[in-house]
Amino acid sequence: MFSKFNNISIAGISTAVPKKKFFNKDYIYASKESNDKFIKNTGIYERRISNKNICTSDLVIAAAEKIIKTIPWKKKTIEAIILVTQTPDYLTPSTSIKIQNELDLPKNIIAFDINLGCSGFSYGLSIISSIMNNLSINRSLLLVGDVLSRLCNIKDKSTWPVFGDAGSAIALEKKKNNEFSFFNFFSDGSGYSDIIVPSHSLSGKNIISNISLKEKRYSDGIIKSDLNLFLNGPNVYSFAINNVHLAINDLIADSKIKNKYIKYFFLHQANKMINDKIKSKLNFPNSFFPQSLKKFGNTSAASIPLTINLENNKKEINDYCLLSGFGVGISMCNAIIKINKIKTTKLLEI
Amino acid sequence: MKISDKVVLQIKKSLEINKKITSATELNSLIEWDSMGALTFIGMADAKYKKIVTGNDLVKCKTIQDLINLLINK
Repeated sequence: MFSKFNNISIAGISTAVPKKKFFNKDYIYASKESNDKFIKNTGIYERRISNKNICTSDLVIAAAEKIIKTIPWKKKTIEAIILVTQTPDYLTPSTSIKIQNELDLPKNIIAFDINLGCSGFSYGLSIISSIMNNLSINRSLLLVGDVLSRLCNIKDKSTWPVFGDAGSAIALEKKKNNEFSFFNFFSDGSGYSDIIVPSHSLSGKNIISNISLKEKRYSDGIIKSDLNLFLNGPNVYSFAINNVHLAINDLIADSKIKNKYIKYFFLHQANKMINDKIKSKLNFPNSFFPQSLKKFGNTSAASIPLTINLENNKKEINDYCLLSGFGVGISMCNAIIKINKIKTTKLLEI
Repeated sequence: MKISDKVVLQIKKSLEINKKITSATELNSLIEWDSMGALTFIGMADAKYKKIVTGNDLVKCKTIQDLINLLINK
């Protein structure tokens, strides 16, 4: 599905990460050779890991406070707040409503959560743009964040060294600039179990129970319980390298934006093998693909705004940018947006 | 050189397998055949053979010959 919205712009982005770093070379549940090979193939050297006192709302609230102050906006002018996360503070109620109170935002605000992961930032942008246009909202906050480290078992070498924690706040406003944003979408539920926490379930045989907590050894270096994240890397890799570039090319064609005007490709930071393969199938220079994998790993929905934040801190972006989020679901959302003189803040460490 | 021998060499090189392997080698006997090895093979199938191989395809493979069959027959 292809859609487009006009007159919605990003005003600013701020991102918060936990202070605590974890270096993959020091991972004690795999050999040095295995760690070296992992780092070489995934491109992930270090990640930020939340301590037990930091949850998703802490990260996105810190980021939101910072960007509201930086732009600056009066809080009473914000009319919608949407949180995209797979690690909400509670399964019930929506964390975004809790955040309304903690950020001291008006009570007549629209607030709800979206349960999406790697595709979540671009997806969230499309949903919030639609709401802003249809409900005459001028200012909103899109929050994206996850503490996936809490779902990964440290004794699972297939997930623990991959994911990092981060939360971003994206301030959006209506502007009469007639600038369009373009989106396309892809959903394939046949891959629902390729990235899954089996016992985060209220149905069927995996309903949460005492057994859910029991750790099992699946293979060398892979020990986890059904309350941990399971990742079928080969299936996800196969999906990504065979579909993402095609959807990106479709979006560029449908948008009618000429290739020469697209200067940045912000791909979801999955791992180096996936991202290099997608890059190789798109006909654009390597320098158009900024990354945050090396120091932050795969930060789920926050990986794209984190990368934009870091890139804009280095050099102000004033171009069409392609955003590509893909992963858990299986879900994908690509977007082309104009980023122009947005305010970004120094990375917050909490 | 037979095509299957050529593929064995390509697999050996891609997965950085140090010991001698043949088409009869069992994947379970190779420490290199882990999740990362599977990704490497899928990438090789895409780059060199223009074949789409999934994780579900690989679950059924027991030997190097099974991998060769995926590349040649799929």
